[in-house]
Amino acid sequence: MSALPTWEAQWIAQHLKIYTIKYAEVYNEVYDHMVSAVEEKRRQGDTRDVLVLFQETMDTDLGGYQRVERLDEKRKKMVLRLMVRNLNMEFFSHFRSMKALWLVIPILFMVISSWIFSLDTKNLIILIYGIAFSPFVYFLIYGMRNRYFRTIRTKRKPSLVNQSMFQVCGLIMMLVNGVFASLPTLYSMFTGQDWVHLVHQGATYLGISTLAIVAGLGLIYAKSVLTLIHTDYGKMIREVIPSDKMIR
Amino acid sequence: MYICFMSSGKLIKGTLQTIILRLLEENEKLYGYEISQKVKELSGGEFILTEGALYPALHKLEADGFVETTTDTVDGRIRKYYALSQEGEVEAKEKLSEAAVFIEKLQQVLNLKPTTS
Repeated sequence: MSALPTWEAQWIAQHLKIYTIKYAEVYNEVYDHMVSAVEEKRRQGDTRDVLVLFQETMDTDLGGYQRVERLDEKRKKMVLRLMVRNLNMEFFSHFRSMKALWLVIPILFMVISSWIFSLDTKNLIILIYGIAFSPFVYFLIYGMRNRYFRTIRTKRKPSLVNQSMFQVCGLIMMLVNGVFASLPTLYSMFTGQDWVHLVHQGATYLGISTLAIVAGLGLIYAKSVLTLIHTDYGKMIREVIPSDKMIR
Repeated sequence: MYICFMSSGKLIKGTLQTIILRLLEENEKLYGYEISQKVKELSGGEFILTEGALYPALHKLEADGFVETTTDTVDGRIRKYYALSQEGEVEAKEKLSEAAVFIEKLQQVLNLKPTTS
């Protein structure tokens, strides 16, 4: 049974608002720590005002205002680094052993299709953009179906794990846009020719084979993101959801 | 340094993960505040872990796969529990034996005599 009256726990929640804690996971840990600490002091017979206990705990246990604000930043860096590291490991694993077929077969299929079905470069570019958007769309549907976006919003704070996963899904879109947008300028730098007409062509100047390779690489990258969603993201988000709110 | 006020934070910084692994080895699962209180209790109030030290260390152990977490609702608030994973159990044993060897060698180098209280 809690040694802390409800109004004191609510007071702590209210007072924590002055600390800019962005993410639900970090907020939950800090709030639980603060309430547990004040509860323990009350159990030991400390009758001082909750404001005094709050400030004492904040200064000694949490290290004050600046340290609390840095918790968000540190945690986000760690989560993103872990996701990107595992994503890269999964991506590069496709260049070893039989997994390389995931790259080779689509490329061959696209090149052969272009001969047989007179596939236009424009079709391939649309396919590339579709592949680039697919992880984002898949993650959106996956998260909404499992209520991962609603269940863990605390005090209208977004989940760090969800935000990081959205960022990772967006990486491939940024890469594709960046590559297609910057290639004409690079072409102009090395050839001295005008790049404006290339921009108007919309990357069709790259040719079927190059676009097929880009599409193949994009496919592996998208597949790696989907694997990440079902492994690391799935594990991290299930650790964040309280067991009584888990969808079984 | 963000670890404690009484003993040198730098001396403890290098063993913080070992301390956490040891506590989790001896207990099925613990939450953050509980870990900081156990450290304070076992050290007689000498080591005080601030959240700025404790939680990054816990999250690092989690990222490395040595610690697993679960979440429960306690008195209307969400509490995160930490427990050792299988890899964590192996890591805990390795880190503890490393620490034991280090302390022994340090005592030899510094010629410190253990104090009894």
